[in-house]
Amino acid sequence: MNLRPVKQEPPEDDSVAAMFSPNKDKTDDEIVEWLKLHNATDVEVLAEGFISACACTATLKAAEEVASVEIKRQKMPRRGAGRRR
Amino acid sequence: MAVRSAGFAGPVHEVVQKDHLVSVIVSASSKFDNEVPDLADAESMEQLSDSIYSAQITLTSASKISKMSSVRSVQTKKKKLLHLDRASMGIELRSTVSGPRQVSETGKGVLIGIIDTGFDLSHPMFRTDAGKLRVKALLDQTQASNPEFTTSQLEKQWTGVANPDGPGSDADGHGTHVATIAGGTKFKGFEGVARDAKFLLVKTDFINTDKAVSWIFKQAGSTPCVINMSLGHHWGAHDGSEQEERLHETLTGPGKIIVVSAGNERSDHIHIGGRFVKNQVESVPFRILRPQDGSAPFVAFTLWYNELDEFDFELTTPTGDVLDVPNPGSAANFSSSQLDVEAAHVSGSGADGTSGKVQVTIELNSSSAPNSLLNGWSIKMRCETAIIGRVDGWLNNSGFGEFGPHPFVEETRTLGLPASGNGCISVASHVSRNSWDSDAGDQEDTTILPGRTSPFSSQGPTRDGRQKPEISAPGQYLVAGLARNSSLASVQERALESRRLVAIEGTSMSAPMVTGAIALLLQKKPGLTRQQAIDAMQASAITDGHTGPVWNPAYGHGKLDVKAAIDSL
Repeated sequence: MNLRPVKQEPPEDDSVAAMFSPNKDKTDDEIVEWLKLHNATDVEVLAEGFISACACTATLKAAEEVASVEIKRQKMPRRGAGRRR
Repeated sequence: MAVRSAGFAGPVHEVVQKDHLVSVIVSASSKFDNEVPDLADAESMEQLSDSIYSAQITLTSASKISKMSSVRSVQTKKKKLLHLDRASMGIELRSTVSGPRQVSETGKGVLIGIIDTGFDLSHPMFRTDAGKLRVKALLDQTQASNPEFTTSQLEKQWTGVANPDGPGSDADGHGTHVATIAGGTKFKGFEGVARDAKFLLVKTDFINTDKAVSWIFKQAGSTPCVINMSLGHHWGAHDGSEQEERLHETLTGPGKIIVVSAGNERSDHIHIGGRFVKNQVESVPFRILRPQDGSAPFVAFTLWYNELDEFDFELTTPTGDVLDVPNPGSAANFSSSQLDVEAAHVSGSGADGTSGKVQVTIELNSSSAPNSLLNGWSIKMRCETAIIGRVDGWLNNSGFGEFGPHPFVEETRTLGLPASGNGCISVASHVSRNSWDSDAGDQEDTTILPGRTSPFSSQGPTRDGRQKPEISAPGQYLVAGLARNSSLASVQERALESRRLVAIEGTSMSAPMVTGAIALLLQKKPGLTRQQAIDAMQASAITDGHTGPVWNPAYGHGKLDVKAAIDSL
């Protein structure tokens, strides 16, 4: 498992995992439809107001017009195993 | 004639013959070198220092050596207890190392969700005494299709201890250790806190942990469920405003609770914070760390301030180039053949849009970049308007870079994300033991003191001043399940491969202690909420000379006392 490459701002054509929350003018369903129309993949409503999807840079930028957008960050295990000695 | 082994190696009460080999430590003067008696073929002796010898000898030889004038003492090596002895005593689950549990709850009827590196389901700690898996379902996010597995599918594919590579396998070892702390079946004297709970397991890609939480609670349905996340990062506002943290608030409720490790970054120089007055200028140096895996160095950091304030920011490279961070709403770039730098200034971020945010990313183009490009960076901050006047900054995670030296480098506010969210209970670590046995022999960490906060344990409060972590639990060192053929199995100073156990430390280990404890609370009160769990643990927490007054940034409301917490419900 390689946890190093954390740079997650995607190149133009690469997809990155992001969270989308509709703004006051859109419903969850409308955002889901919008994302699918813009070629986002793995679109899933996790809870009311929280939509997970993979999208390319262009889609992420466009989505800012209809929703708040947040790139998912890579976490690391809070391990020990010698690193603290 | 047989003699009782009292004082000699082997379990107490074991009857040992005089020719039985025992392991001893001999303390002697320099004369001993010339007086060492002839040893039999089966006996051995090794000089560890000028005056200390380790030996495996018969009782007859031990008796003979102890009478020599050059010998100060002959002591048997003490058998180490290879289970969560002190940890379970430390949370008042047991009153003595080998005594019975002090609580009747075992987690029966409760689900424990674990989001981690994977799981060695051949390990007996995931199975009942009859060998049946205690896993309700498993999701593997590391496979492109995100496959899910039912209990029967897992039973078919995890065909035995010789097969450590079934679905959701654990090449790292972290997840197996974490899960067995929270709920492992009794094995070689050790058992997890909630030994009768069932597991919902996610082998995660460490990005889509939001989906993992959602999946676990959906699988749990109306069954009480507590999720453990021994993971985190620092690329965010640290005020509970990140979407994943808000998602946790939405998904938790009666019978649905999330536990998150505080983080291990207290001493890693990943945080700066300080208060400015108008026109004050501070320049904080930082350096980029070279990745151990050989990849190209990369670091990101974010700086946060209140929108009522105004700041100018300026980044200086090791070569003396200066990159002005533009006004809010803009970004600036600096590129050369060796590196790419981007600095973006955003307004309206953070909780309720009340923060200004600067995000800097620095990426070196080659893994062989010279040290001169790693050292000598600095970020200059100039305060134009000071209403609140505070700036806080975090590197994206430990191991990518370091701030300082500078007075703004803080050990407080090193609690990570998603631990800083309002939808979880975050857990600090304190020391429960400082010695353990391993494949490389007895190990001891003389730098730590049992009962005291672990020197790595990230401290609160959150950036917006909320009291997190809520509780501290044993996290240094914990012995629990070892995944076969994992990275941890190759660390000889930590692993006991033949016994399938390993000793590691971290808030990764203290969090599942609390997760297991909450499973016990949920058994007693299935509709328990996060706040009720916090109240029960807070009211019953242990305070002592180490914790001092609570709440405080290192211990939260004190040390976990699971018996008192259950009794308080």
